[in-house]
Amino acid sequence: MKGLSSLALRHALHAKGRTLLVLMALTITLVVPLCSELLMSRYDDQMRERAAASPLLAGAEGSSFDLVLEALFFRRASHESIDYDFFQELERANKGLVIPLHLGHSMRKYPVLGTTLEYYERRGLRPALGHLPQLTGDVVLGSAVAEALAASPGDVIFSDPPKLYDLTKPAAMRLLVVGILAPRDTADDGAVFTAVQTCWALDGHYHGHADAKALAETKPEWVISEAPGRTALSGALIEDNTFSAEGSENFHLHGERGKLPLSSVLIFPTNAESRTILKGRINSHKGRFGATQAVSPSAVLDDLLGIVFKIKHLLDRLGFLLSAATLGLVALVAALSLRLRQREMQTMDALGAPAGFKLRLVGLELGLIFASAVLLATGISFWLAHVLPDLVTLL
Amino acid sequence: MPSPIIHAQALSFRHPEGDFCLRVPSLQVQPNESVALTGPSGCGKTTLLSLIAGSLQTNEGQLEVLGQDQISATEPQRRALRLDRIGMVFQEFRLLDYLCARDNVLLPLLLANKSIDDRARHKADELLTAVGISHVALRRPAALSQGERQRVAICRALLMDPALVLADEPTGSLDSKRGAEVLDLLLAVCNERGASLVLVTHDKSLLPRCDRVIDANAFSADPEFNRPGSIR
Repeated sequence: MKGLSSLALRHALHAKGRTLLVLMALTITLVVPLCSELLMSRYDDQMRERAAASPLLAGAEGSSFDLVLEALFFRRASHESIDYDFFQELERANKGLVIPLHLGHSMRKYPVLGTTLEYYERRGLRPALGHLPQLTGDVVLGSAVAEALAASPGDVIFSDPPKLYDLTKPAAMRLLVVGILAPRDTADDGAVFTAVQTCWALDGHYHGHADAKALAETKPEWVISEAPGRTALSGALIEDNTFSAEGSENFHLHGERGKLPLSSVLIFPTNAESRTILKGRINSHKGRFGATQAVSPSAVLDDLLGIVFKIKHLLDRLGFLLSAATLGLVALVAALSLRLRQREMQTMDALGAPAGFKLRLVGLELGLIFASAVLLATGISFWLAHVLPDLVTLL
Repeated sequence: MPSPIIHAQALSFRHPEGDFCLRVPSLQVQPNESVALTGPSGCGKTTLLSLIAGSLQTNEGQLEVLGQDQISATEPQRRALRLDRIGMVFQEFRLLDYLCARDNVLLPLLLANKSIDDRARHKADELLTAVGISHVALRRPAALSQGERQRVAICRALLMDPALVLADEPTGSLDSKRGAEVLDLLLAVCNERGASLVLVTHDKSLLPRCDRVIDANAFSADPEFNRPGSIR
């Protein structure tokens, strides 16, 4: 190391308090814009890419933001569901591939998506281990979920009960992990996938228990009322919470299948014409399925990101002011440092240090601190960008 | 006869911020000679030392130091001469508190923006050994006694093998016993390395140790000081 840099480094290490103060001030000033830039660029790319891979989305009328963020990024939303009949009607229209989506349940806090096999195909999801769900109760885990839960095929994990203290709601169900998906670096990595029927079972629409007539004979105290062809049993009856091969026969639906709920429907129209027709038909649909809407996720996200970027610009301006204040502080520290080191500088002069040596020395020392701050800020920003929660969950 | 290390003729300097004026009719310092500059405070001893070192400059008279004309030399030339060929010792030691004793000795090399290699470290250790403080090589000035600090400063002055050492009251911060020890040491190492020494001191008891004593009263233009100097 040359004399100048050696002296600069030694003084920086000697004046620890001052060095740390300047280092922290510079690091914080750099972290704010750097981190927001990293997060924004990452999420901007990810969100737009995913939206572009989802041409049309249909759901109940309401906030299009909620609809898109739930269907594409599994963000919890409280909008109305649509009937399974609606999905079937879209299928019958034969204008493209229609994929049902059922969201709202979770497993160890990770969102559970009920869908069909076409979803995996369209999203490019392949099992890295095991296979895709084949039976009710089978789940496959996104790569991030599998890693976080240290789960592997064959494990049994309970779903999160929808309402822990509400006895009218179904209890947690045992779900069998049959596969782990290969990582895709999308929201799919952080979700659990299953069949729509499994989600309906988690809703309580499908449930399993022993035959009511047989139970009425063995447990007459459980019978609340009996009528021809209908036996009502008390809440003492504990429903099955396992989708076993033997028990699956017990699972049945009370009510119409067409009325079962879906969160939304992902549509891949055959062509632009089909897309226009479907969109128009859905948006004007006020009939028996209730008010519905079809949106283009790309357009919705453009609107949303437009708002987000306006906020970012505002933050950038604030960051600029912060930078100016920090530079002022650094200049003040440098000036005070020069004053405090006057005797040392005089000694250097007296010994014959070249002209400008002192300024170069102080400049280099600040440069070293600045370079350290840049490195530190870059590291912290990348770490924060990695550990901060997904932006879409904050929107 | 070898050419003198310092040759001054009709040299004069007027302080820009005062009415003090230094006039040196003639001054010569020979190689390996030790010269003590003495006189009361304010008679111009330190000013003369600064002119020789090139920290101050005048354009009246002649002043040649180590073959360089200090009157016509540029600022970088005077700085280079000071750094490479003149050793400086100060009353207050002027060690850098964030460097250990050995690195303080190596300071002239650092100021020349040179890398410190094993050879340089070995030389610094040799100098510290020569003045008997090799055991404090890695201590910072705050952990050294006054005498040890001045020895470190002497080693720093000798690192570049200077032909001339300028010492401005090097014993001023030490008691008379330690002062005598340090001066003996300074004279010994200068003599051993063939360096001339110009020493400013108030301490009359130290004067007999030098080859020659110059009364700086003779250099002052102030009538109060303007008495003939004595040269021994």
